Amino acid sequence: MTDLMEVKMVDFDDGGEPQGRLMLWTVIAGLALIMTLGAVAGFFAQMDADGKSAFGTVGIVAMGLFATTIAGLAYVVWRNMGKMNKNAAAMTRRDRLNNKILLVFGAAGGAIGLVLAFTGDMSTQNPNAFSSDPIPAIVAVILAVVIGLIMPLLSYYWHLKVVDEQEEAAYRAGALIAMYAFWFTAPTWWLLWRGGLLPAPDGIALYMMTIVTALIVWLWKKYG
Amino acid sequence: MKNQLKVLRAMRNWSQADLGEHLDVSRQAVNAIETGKYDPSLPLAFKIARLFALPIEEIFDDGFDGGQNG
Repeated sequence: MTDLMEVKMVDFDDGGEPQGRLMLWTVIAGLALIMTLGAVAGFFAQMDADGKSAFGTVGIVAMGLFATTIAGLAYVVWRNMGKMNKNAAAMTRRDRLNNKILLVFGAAGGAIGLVLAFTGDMSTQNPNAFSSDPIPAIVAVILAVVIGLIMPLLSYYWHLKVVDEQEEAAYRAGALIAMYAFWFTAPTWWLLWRGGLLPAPDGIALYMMTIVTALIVWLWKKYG
Repeated sequence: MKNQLKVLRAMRNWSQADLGEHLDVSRQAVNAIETGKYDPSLPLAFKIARLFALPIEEIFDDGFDGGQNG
């Protein structure tokens, strides 16, 4: 067999930062950015409820800290996306389409999170995307159409045109472990609630736990 | 599973992305197969064998020695 040292290797992984790591940092920074925006809304809603001015010392310091955090996270997203685009030549057609669709998913998820965070009942000082506060019916209908109709169609297209067998295997592993996580966590929580040890099981919290578990395993299996 | 994919690719001076295009899989899939983190399906293994015009067993090694030591 040919000695590897004798032939010129053209290998993206040997020469650059792995794409998975760039993608992971982009996703983490993007999620942190959305959460920070939610925290900004919550903080200033609380100040308003307490009758404090946003332009007092505390408000100005908080604005500075939030602005720095948001700018830092936005920079991480921008820098990693720039690196991913720079590596585009070392990607296949599937890789490029995959990145584009993942960005659409990420942007849609971020937009949905922001809409939920900022259309909730701000008087409860609970402007987070996962609260169960009422939202306007029109917002609920629009988001339900996006999540219940558009996202499944996009997912179908993604699996049909983009996902190859290695990624499919990563998905299956993520789905399996997430299913087990749900199977065991939900009844454990329910029993502890019945025993008076925990608050009532929260469907959205269980949903998020399942999704995050699947996402982590998928990233680990695909890029790890 | 050990394999000779990286060597065969290098002999043609292909990048992982080039091989991925030939096989219609992602660059990440090529990387995962080369590093032994993912074993390809039988159809993909045949496709690889056809691409390099070699029998599958000359590309992939499952470690079976024919039972001579067992």
